[in-house]
Amino acid sequence: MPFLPRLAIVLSVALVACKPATQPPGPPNPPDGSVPEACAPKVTLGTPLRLLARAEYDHTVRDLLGDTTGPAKDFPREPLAHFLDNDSSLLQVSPDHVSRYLEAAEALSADTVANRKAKIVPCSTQDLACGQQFIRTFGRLAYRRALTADETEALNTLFANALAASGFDSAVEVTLQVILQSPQFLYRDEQALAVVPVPTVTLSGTELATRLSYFLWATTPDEELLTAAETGVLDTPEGLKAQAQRMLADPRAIDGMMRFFALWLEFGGIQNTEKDVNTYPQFSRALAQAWRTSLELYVRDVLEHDGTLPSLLSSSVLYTNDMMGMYGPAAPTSAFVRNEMPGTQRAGLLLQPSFLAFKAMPDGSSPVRRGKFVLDQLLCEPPPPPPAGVAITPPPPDPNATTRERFKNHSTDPQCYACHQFIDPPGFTFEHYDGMGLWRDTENGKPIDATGGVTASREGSLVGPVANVNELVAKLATSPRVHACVSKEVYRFALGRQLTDADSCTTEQIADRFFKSGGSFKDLFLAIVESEAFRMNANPEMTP
Amino acid sequence: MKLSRRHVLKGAGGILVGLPALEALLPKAARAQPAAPPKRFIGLYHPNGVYTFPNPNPTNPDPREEWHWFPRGTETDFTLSRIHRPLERFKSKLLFTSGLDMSVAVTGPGEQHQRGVGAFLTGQKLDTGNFVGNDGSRAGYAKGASIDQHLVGLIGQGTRVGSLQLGVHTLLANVAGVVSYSAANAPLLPQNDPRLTFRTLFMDSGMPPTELDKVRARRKSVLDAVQDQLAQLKKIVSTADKIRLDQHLTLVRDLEMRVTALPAGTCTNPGDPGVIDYTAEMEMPRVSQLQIDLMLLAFRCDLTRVATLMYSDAMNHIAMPFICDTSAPPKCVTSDVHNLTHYSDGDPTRVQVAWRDTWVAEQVARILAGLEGITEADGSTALDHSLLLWGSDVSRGNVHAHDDMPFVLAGGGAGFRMGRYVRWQSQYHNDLLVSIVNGFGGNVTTYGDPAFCRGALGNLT
Repeated sequence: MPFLPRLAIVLSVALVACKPATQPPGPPNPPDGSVPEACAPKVTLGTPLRLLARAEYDHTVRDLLGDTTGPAKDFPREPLAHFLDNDSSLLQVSPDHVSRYLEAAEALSADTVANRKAKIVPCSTQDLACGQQFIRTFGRLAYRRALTADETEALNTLFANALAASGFDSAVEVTLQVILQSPQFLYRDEQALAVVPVPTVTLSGTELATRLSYFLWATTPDEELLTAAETGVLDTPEGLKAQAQRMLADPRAIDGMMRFFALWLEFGGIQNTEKDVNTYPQFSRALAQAWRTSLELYVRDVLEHDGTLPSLLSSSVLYTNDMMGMYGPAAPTSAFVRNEMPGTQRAGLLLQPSFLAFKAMPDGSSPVRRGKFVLDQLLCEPPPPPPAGVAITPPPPDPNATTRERFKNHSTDPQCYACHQFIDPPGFTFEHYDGMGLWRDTENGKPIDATGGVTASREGSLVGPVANVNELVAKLATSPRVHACVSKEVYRFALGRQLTDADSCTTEQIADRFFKSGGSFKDLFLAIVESEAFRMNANPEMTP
Repeated sequence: MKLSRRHVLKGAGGILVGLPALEALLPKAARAQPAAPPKRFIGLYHPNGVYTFPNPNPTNPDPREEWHWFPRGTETDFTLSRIHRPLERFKSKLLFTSGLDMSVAVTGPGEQHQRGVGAFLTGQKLDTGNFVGNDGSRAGYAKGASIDQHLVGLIGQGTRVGSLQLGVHTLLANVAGVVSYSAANAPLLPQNDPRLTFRTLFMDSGMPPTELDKVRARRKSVLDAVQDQLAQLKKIVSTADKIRLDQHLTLVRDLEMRVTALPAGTCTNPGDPGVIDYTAEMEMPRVSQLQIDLMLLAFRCDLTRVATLMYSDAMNHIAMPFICDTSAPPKCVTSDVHNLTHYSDGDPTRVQVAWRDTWVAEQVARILAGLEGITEADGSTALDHSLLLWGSDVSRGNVHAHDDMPFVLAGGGAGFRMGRYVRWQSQYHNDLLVSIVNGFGGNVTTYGDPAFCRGALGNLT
């Protein structure tokens, strides 16, 4: 007993210095053999109607209409909930949305009817019967379920009027415009309305098919999946698993995974990176674009080969084009070339030039941004916010000191030290890489000190000094906690909502499967599909 | 902007004239009667506070003192900061403030930038949510409507576009990148692409009338059918989603009105500005110019009367390398300005924040000059009938303070006495919002969170 009060005092001192914010529910504990065998199916937070994200819209019209122009690029950006763009509670339409939907629907309809009519109209008789057949078959694909009688009747009436007024093609075009602006198309329905007041509902076959397809393929269900849904195949765990396995074996599964990684690694942000050209005359906007492509190809390469988290964190592949000769073998043209890099300077995601340049300042490296990525996105142990009112003054540039030396006040000022004792040490291990992600042995004439390490974690074996960043990466790549952290983010991506404590049993099980599979991303995606939570939603009538 | 609602226009002699909705949709017709020139409101935001040099030493003057944001002198006899020199010729139309505290933003979910940008025009705290602040804390959106949207109801009824939300490199689509809210948790994110601003304002203008009639008839039938499909879906969703679909329905109805019922705009179509890489920092000056010019044209043509304009988001990391101090040997901004705002008061590098502030002042000057160039029927200028409110999310970025906010007002729209520097003592910024709303014909005693309201500010009118 005397021990406990003393611990409480120590904790409270730490909390005063490093203000605890309202943190999200902590990540699951690392698998230690105590993972629950089965989880009581608890889902306490549901998804409302889910508005298609821009990437989903583009993929969907590509598959439905054969469009490759990416019309959603003009749509409003999605609000990001801790990097993810598909939090259903945040996706809501605005005046800009409906304007852009109208413009896109008009352009897509005109182009499809003019150039690819056969892709959507299953008959050639150019009459009302053919129009009704189009509404039934294409409508089912666009709405991802069979149309209700009322929906069909309304569209049939519209078609008949347009046919009489201006002919068959025009009627198809107008009907397509309506379908593409209807909420049945723009939103994914996961409601499975329950008439009885139960806290959770099981998704209907077509709702589940839609959730599955947008998770694994980032697009609308194909004919086989839709048929499986309509014939009850997805209602059994075996049937669902078989469809998921079919889809994961398809090359399109890479698209679904890439959609997650594009968000988690902020591809858009990398592309928009800017540098101070006085410090880095090599920088250009075109180089930032190359960084993005290079990292995209790197992740895709990992997924197409080993496909595991350890491989993501340690692959020696580097894609370069003619702009990226400063990082490795120069490619002859703007086309990217795959290089296997010797040595350890480019081993893994965290040592990719793109990542290092993105997680840096415009005029230098950034131990803080790099350290924060490790803590927040790999350990799910984000550093707490600074105390209110504290002067957050970054160390000024000094031509005679290393970045690490400039950050010394973080360890001397107690207010800074309270948090930066956690952020800086992992960040310092990246100090051999400057703000462009280029290797350096010295900075301002002084040798680089890249020692550091994780100073606190709920996974004790991660904690401790490392001599260099490769040692840190090796620890991260084999850490159950890192597997749990990444898998929880993928789970949140799959469900499109915030997580609650009720999810922790499920996320623990998924993390365990992911780790035991050797960190296989396909196993992770399958584990999430097979979880009960994936088949369920909180009853929307009972969600506040 | 509900279409079904009967609303009132203030006619000549202050008589309130009730108009049926359809008539109100035709501003030309409404203004055919002798009427006051339209009133306009602009909310302008720039991130991360301003440059201050708080404690000048008379015995050892420092050249940086003249960059201190706040004017020096008395209420009516004062010298502008070097930051505000681009606005010198509008001095009699400006009102500088100090002593206004954005106290509502001091506590609540989120970090100080998020809370500040959310409170700027709403006077509200943030909801809980999942947007991660720079310091790791989390927040949702602001918990109420912003004054610009409130003012749409007072001064903006019947225009083709209810209001404009414009951005210049305001790329973060979350609480840190929005100042306009139609209601709690209903953000109106800024449009950063001038090409799309153009499209919103001038869609279909210039189309031959017969063609336009055909396009409009077709859009009407399409949007009617969309509303029909919406009604069908409503039958099979939850109660909560019925509300969601009703909001969608309102937007589709507004859109239908905009593209079928309202005049396409009588102004000469200024021409599509074309594709601009609006995500590039170096393009910010060009994007700013285009957005401002389109906004001014929209005012001139009375396509809208309310706008907000954001110069990046509260958690940006843009370097703005195009901003230079040209007075000395030219020196340009060298680091990310958000980062620079964090430097301590005495740090020599921090003065670069003042250069950024000066650049924003130049943008404000461009707007004011444009408003002055719009002559109303009675010979007055649009600047006499407009109010611009310029502010930020914090006052001093290095301590993330919300006291003594850097608010500047411009123009005669709210009937305030301008040409002054008013120093209040720890007054709530919510009360400034109250004064503005009432200055535009509103009658409110609180705005935003009532816990931070004491009533309209004194010494304004």
